[in-house]
Amino acid sequence: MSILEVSNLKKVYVTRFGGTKVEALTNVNFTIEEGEYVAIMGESGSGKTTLLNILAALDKPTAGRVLLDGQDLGAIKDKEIAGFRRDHLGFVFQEFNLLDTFTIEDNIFLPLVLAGMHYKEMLERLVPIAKKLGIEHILKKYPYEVSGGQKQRAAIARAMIIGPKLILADEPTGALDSKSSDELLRLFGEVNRQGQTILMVTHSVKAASMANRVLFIKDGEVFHQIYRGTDTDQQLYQKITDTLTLLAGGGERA
Amino acid sequence: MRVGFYFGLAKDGIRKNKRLYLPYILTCVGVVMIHYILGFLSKNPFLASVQGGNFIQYTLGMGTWVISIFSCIFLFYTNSFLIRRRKKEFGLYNILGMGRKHIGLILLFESLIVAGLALGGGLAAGILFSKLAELGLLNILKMQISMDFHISLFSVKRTILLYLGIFLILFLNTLRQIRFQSALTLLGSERAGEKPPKANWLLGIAGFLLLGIAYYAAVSIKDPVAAFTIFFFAVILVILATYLLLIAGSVVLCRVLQKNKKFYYRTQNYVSVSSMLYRMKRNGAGLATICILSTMVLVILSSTTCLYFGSEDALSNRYPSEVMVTLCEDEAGAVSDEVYGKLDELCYQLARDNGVEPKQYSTARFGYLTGVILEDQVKTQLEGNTERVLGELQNMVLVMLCPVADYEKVTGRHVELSQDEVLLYSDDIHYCYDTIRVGENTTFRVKEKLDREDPAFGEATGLTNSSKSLSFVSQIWLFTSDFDRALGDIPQLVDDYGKKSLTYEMVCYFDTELPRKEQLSFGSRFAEQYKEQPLPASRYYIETRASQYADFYQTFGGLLYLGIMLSVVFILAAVLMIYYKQISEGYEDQARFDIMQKVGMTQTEIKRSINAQMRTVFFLPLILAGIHVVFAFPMVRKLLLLFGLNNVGLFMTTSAISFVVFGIFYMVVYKLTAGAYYRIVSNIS
Ligand SMILES: Nc1ncnc2c1ncn2[C@@H]1O[C@H](COP(=O)(O)OP(=O)(O)OP(=O)(O)O)[C@@H](O)[C@H]1O
Ligand SMILES: [Mg+2]
Repeated sequence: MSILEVSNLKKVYVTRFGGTKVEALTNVNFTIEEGEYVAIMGESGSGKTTLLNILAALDKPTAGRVLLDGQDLGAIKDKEIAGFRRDHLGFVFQEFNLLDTFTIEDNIFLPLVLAGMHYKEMLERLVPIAKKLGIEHILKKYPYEVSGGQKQRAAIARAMIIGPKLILADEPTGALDSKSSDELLRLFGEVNRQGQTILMVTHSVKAASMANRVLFIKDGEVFHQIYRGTDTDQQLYQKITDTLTLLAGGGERA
Repeated sequence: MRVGFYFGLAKDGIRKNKRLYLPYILTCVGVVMIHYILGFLSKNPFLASVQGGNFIQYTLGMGTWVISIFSCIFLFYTNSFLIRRRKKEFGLYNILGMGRKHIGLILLFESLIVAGLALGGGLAAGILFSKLAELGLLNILKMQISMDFHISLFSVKRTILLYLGIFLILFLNTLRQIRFQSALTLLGSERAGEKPPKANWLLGIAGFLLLGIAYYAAVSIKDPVAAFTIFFFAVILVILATYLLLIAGSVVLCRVLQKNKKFYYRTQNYVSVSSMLYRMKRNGAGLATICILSTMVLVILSSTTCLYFGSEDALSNRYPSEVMVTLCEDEAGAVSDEVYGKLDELCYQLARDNGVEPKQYSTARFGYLTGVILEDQVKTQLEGNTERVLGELQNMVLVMLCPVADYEKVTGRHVELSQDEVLLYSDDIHYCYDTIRVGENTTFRVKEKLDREDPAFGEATGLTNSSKSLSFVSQIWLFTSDFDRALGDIPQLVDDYGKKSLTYEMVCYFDTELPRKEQLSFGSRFAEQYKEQPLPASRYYIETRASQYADFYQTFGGLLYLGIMLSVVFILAAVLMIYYKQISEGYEDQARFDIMQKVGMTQTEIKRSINAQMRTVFFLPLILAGIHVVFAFPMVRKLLLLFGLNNVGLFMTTSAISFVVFGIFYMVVYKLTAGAYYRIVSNIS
């Protein structure tokens, strides 16, 4: 069964003054199966963040439908949407988005506390995840005391701790140096192999080449997609580069 | 040309940050205005010419100094807030290749613009409103008004010098901060200091302790003179304690709450406790200042309005009788039965000559000295260090010495007293010894203690309507058979001013029940006629309550006026600080609001938690100020006694009204500034 089904998604922004319209998404269709690791690529301004925000129910589409685990996001009441998001989705952002008023540990606990879980149970969940991500020794520290890579790992822990159906990541390596990026991508791969479904937006070919499938967005539509099949990372990398060149060329013609 | 460019940048900088600068400049204008007006009034020639004007001008002059010092501290505080927000901009200029010198130039222009606006606007408003202020003052003082208008060059000069000085120092201070920081620190300075505050247990607990001591001192104080000496001590303690409590104490409290996992990991507590921790660190000082300003406003308003509206009361306390004729002597021998009798006759006669049938007519004679009562001894000379002497002043008493014959005459009772025996009456003190020593060498045996309720006693001492005036000092009355020699060597003692410690008085009191104006003319006629045939006495005074009336209104009216002016300044300052607090919290919460929403907190949950937090933090100063005021109440009441005011009901009323009015005002400010806060928060998310 597919975890995510996106059909005929359309998003039009109306600027506050003057009412000029920007069509960020025209017609997006795709599905994601359980256990998949999907990367989304596209030029700047092609609508990737917009798409992710809609999938996360942070924004509403102008038209179209999103089914998450069989549940229509559009049918959820406004009041319940935050709770739904909390229980079914995990987020990893480019800017980490850790709250600097909390220790790393408390940041990770945040969704659990919001869900009203007991401290003991929270702790039980945290221990294996922290171990897997290698952040046990920084749990008591504050965000300003740790490195960017560590912050991002904490953000991943926060995304994972609730046991979400899907993890959404918006350019998770964007603010990291190459060593931390590699480390993070390795972790993503590992988490995915253990069954976690991941959808990641990225500009980095290297990051995309670690996924099982890469979607390309252009002019508000899914323009192309590549399955890994039996390709190695290097082979996938080459295919992505080729597609991007093609995309850029097409962009010039248009 | 180039200079014009930097001037333009400075202007833009202020315009772009007008949300920050406008309130700042307006407050500067307000403070400058009030400074000018106070200076203007304190040198106002018309005010100088009226009776009692000197005291008022002195008071207003003091007020000018208070405002000067306060402006200095306050502008420093708000300016540092502005700079913190501007540093990022300067860091950017710096990275874009602008030298420190040029940034300094921009800053200079900014300071000049702010100073120009503040001084120009403030002086213009000050001059414009000075007449209004003068009329207001004269009205409060119940004095004739004059319609001429003038500008006080003295005050203009003083205002310009003071505020230029302050702005110069502010400019130099900002320059210093910019100069010693790298572009990167400047860029990041808004986010700097994100370190979680460490709980400083020592300071937090010290805060509680200091507050406890101050409260205890305020509540346990017994008499007004001591209240006066302790007041400033207590004020300083309370200020210190407030800062400690709000800065360190609150962090300690949050830490304790955090340690309690069951409590902490609950949705509402989780977010609010942790962000409160940060908030208090950043805003604790601001909150403490708001709290202290509020307390000052409340204490000043409640006490000065109480004095003003209670002046009638204070007047009749200080002058229980409408007319009081006093003869003073330094020698006991001069207080002869003959003169005493003549005084009685003469006053009665003079009153009737002037068409008045004296009411509540009574006479009294006594010798009195002040001392400090320690167990069964009244010490007339204090030794030791000042601190101890001040401490002992709490036990100050007035020893009134009275011929027992007077008591016998009024009561018709015959009392047999030997030379070392006395009848004793004490009003406030419960005197429980069998003997009483006055000075070092004179000891009396107390033959009998008299009852306050005994009406005859009141008549004999004139206490029913006389010496209440001094009611803030306890009195001990001693009736003795040998008025002359009773006190041995005491009469020879002189105080530090060369005045004899023991003074003898013969007093005659009565009421006329005339309206105030006629009472005045009666008083002067009476005094003139008395002058023609004076009784033998070293000194004499003739006082009427009516003639003191203007004096009282001027004293209390002047205080009320100053109180109102100071309150306006303090309120202005408090409002500005509240506004800045909301704005800075708005900027802080912007990002947090966004993240929490993404992590799965609902809008309403966020709003509720932010609201609750904001309200707690916001009303904390008001509540603490309320508690301060409650504990200050007994002490301030004692201080009011020094002004002859003993009307607890009135003081309670003015306190309550002040608090309610101020509370409503505070609420309105909260609502308005909360609006600014929400606008900032919702801008981004
Ligand atoms: N709130 C908004 N109001 C109006 N237009 C918007 C809004 N958000 C995005 N857009 C527009 O929608 C289009 C898609 O934006 P989006 O942020 O999704 O791009 P992106 O693919 O994430 O770009 P990047 O790779 O640079 O992050 C852009 O043209 C953008 O200007
Ligand atoms: Mg984007």
